[in-house]
Amino acid sequence: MGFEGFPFILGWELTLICNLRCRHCGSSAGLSRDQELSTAEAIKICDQLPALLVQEVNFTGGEPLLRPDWPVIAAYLGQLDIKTKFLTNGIVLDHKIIHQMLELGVAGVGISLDGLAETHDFIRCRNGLFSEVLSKMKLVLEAEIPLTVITTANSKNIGELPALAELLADLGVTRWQIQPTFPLGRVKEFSYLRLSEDDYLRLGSFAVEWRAKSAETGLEILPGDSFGYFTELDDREPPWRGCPAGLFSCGITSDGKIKGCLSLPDEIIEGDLRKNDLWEIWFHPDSFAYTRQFNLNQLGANCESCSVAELCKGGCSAMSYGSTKQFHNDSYCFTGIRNRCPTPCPAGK
Amino acid sequence: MFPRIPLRVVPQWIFERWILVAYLIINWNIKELAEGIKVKPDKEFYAVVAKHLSAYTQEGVMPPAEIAPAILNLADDMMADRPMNMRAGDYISIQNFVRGIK
Repeated sequence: MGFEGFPFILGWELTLICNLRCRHCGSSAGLSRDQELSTAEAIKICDQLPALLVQEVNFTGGEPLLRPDWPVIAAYLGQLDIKTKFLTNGIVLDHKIIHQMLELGVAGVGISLDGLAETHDFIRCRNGLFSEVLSKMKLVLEAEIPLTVITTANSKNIGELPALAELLADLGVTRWQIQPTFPLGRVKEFSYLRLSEDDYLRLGSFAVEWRAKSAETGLEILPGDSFGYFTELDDREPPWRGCPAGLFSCGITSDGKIKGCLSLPDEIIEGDLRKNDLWEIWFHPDSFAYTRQFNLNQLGANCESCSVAELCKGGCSAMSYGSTKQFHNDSYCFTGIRNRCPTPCPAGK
Repeated sequence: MFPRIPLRVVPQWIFERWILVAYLIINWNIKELAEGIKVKPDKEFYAVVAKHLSAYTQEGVMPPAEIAPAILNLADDMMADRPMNMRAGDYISIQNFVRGIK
């Protein structure tokens, strides 16, 4: 029997063009990829999605709102009954775009915020951006478009998370995703931004503490990419059960390549939509082998002796590959760190 | 006109966590997929299903081998007066068949 899953949720990098050059950007976004998809090609791809039972498309970039035809693509997907959501740095959001989003029925907006003012502006290399982004969040909230704020935790902002939580709760934000910095893309030039193991445990403690307060603050904290696994620091329900890339989701790059997830580096490509359609790529027996054909023998040194490796399958594929050039070998893992350092870590509190 | 065919679906809580998959994670379990998605296949898909389901149930003509299990499963539902449900594997086999004759 062949694989019988579907890409219910699709990440789509509309363009790699970006109006920022963030130090932590895993995609090294800035300039366009060679030969990004035309509007006609994008529409042709949209036509392939209903048969694959795609329910939602999450547009990312680069900065997806810099692509002039984003309303055309979003409207077309709407006609196909496929929800659309946008991840943006917030800069170009204005009343006109918010109005367009409302008219198109955009189902959600994610905006990045990477620390308090000085840190956010440092990470994003643009002075004054912090206050600008806060004002854009207010626009989204006022329009009652569901907003999720996303923070990539790093060595500079880890101590600011409690203050950031207070700020977001005061603003009326209800959903906040936090995730560690990935060792991919531009952050390789700024490796000091990566979290130490102690800081990673500290991130886990912070999330647990603040999730307990969510009823009081109204701010739900969502552990994001590569955040876990198991132990009392990861109490999500249902628990992590391995990387979903190629099982329930996949990503389309702006030049039409298919990845299991857009966080993976460009060398991990499953196919090209200019050569094959998504159905052929998705159901090809060799596609997404790192998740679909996983077995315990593939576990790397960080995970091979772990008692829960069968459940987590070696963690986050992108973090694992970015850190070790191997899948199923994620070093950012609460259980793994505890196994390597069994004594209680003071910084974890 | 055929009704929409229920297939396996993603539970609502997955969509409530949509932001997690924008780049990477959907932290769910494949076995927790629930019933309920409404598939809206294109005209060719419906035409193939209608043609072979009708031929089988009314004239006893066996469907092509590639889609016979899928059509017979639907026919079982139909003749038992149950709502027609389609398994993911049956849906894939019919879509592959339709793609082959396009």
